[in-house]
Amino acid sequence: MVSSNDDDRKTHPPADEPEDTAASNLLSGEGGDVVTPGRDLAMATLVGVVAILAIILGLLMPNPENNIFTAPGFMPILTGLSLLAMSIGLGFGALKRGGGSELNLSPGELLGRYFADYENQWALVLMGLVVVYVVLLDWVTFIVTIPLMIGGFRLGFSSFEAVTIPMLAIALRIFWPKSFTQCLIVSAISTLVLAAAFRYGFRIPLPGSG
Amino acid sequence: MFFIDQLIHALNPYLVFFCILGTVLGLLWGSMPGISTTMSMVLLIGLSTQMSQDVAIMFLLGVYTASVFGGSITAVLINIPGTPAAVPTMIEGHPLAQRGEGGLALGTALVASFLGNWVGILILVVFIPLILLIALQFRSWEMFLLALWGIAICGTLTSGEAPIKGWISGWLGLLIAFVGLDNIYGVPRFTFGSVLLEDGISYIPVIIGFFGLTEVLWVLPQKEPSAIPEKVGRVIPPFSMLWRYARSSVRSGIIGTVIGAIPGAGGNIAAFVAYDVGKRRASPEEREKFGKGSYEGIVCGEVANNACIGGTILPTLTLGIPGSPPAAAFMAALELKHVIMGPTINIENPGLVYFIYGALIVANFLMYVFGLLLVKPAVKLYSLPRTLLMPIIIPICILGAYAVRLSMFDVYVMLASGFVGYALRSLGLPLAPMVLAVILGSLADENLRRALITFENKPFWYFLTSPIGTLLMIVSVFTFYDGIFRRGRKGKKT
Repeated sequence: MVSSNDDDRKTHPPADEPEDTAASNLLSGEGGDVVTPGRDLAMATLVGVVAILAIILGLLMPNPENNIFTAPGFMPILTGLSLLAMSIGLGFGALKRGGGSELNLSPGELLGRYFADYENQWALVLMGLVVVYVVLLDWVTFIVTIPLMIGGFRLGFSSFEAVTIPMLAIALRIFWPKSFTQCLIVSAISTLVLAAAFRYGFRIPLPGSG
Repeated sequence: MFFIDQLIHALNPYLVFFCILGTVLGLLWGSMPGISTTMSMVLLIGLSTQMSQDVAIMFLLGVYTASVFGGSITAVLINIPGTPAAVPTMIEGHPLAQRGEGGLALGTALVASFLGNWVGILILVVFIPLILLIALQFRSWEMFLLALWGIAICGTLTSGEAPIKGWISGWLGLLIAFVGLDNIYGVPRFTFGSVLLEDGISYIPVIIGFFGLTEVLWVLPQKEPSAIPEKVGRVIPPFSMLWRYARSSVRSGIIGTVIGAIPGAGGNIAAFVAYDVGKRRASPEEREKFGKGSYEGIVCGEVANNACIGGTILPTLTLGIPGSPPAAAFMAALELKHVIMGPTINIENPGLVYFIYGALIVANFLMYVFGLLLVKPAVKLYSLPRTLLMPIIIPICILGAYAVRLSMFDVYVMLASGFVGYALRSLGLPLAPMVLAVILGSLADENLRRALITFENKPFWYFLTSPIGTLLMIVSVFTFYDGIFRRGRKGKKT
């Protein structure tokens, strides 16, 4: 689906790209991406599946008054039907532009191409890291109050800081070319500032701990 | 008198302090590449949850007003637009910065932003009473059509030559909006037996995921260089120069406000349209300068994207339909304060509309003052690499999503939205129509079903008896026709 030379996904134009093109990309795609007919075809298929599912689930919804117009499933069915029509329109357009030949690869080759792209690899790493971070925030819950009052506030150290500091340090270490110690220092300072702003400044409890 | 009272209230030092805080944060965040106005707004909703209603309004309007200008700082100095709306400013401003006129280019952008805000505020003040009067005539059928048209036009405007992608994005958003108990019978829809999903999906974590986390996932893995200019130079432009561009300012201001009032369109489109019109209307000598460093080009883009603020607030307040993603964030923050936007806003919240006028005026002055003060320090700040700034946004997204209802479920919703947003963006789908649809979905659903009940046992042409409804139907049909036939043909040619 994603070709290996799709590394022009920038929010700003490269030096050799005409600025008008970059501008219209930004306007059209909230960031400017090169979308191939193959990708359009893949998207049309995916959207078609979602639309059919929405229609089926809409039909299965109970209808308390046996009136189609007030049925809870009415809008989901209507939305599903129009979405299906749109996906067919998009799919046909993509096929006309040769989208079929782009998808004429085995799933292994498609995945290989996707993972060969530098940005895709790191985006996936980042996604994994964020998932681990959120799950840890959900699972690890504690707060240690320090018997020290500053400005009327009792200081505390919670699972939010305990999880965020190392996770943020790892994320920084991956993408910011500095030593782990520097990443850890930046991570600790920014996490403590954030936690203090929310906990003491705006009195908003932090995830997992308060 | 009511307006003067509310303006004086907005000048309360406590409120002004929070507006300053919002302005400074908006300037700094808006100036950082990759952090758009929407992202600045959605990340700060979390902070506004514990503020009182007036404080939250002052704070968020400060962020909104200032972050729009903030986007032009990096655009001029390092050729990276802080926000997409700053691209015209980048095209014209960066060549000027390379010639050592970066300070003057920034100063021109600042004054243009200030003027643009004024145009937007004036049009807002003049038209709100009229639109509120019309809005009170809206019944279920009209509200449904308005929501449908809003999603459709947003899809058309945000997806360039392929409006179908914008509509698909919007329609997927509608499906998300249907999750939860249905408003009429309480029947669970798309909940798959989950009790958590029965409450529905709050659109605030969805917005934070789409515009915060998606942006981080998108931008952080990219390799990009950045260069920092040594000199900024003179900042305040001479009056004679501003006078020369007065006509362009007024024209761009009107364009910006009108585009802002169209649901979902927003500052990006306003800036590009005004810039394009400005280029066509410029004198031959000035037209020659476009693309190589034109102050008139900067004025057109900046006046329009700031005038757009007033424009976007117009449908948000009067119809409950946000004019742009940042306006959606503003609406979300006010809903957390139990303010329901729409035709009855003046009845349910007397004085609020006037207070928002006052807050916009105060925020505009503060944006100008702090813009001048912060231009040089901002240069230092945004010289920090994106690879350092972007990871820090991840916990801010989490805190923002969590703070709304103190629920980890919302954090998971934000996480899923971020991943879905990344996937959709990879496939070339715009995210704004989806967000708009998530917000308007239940309104469209409930009103359509109510309208259909009132149409039962009536002649089939009954739905044509409402002039506003008929007009909205014509406009909606034209939007789809235009998207399918006119833009489709244009797309094929290109």
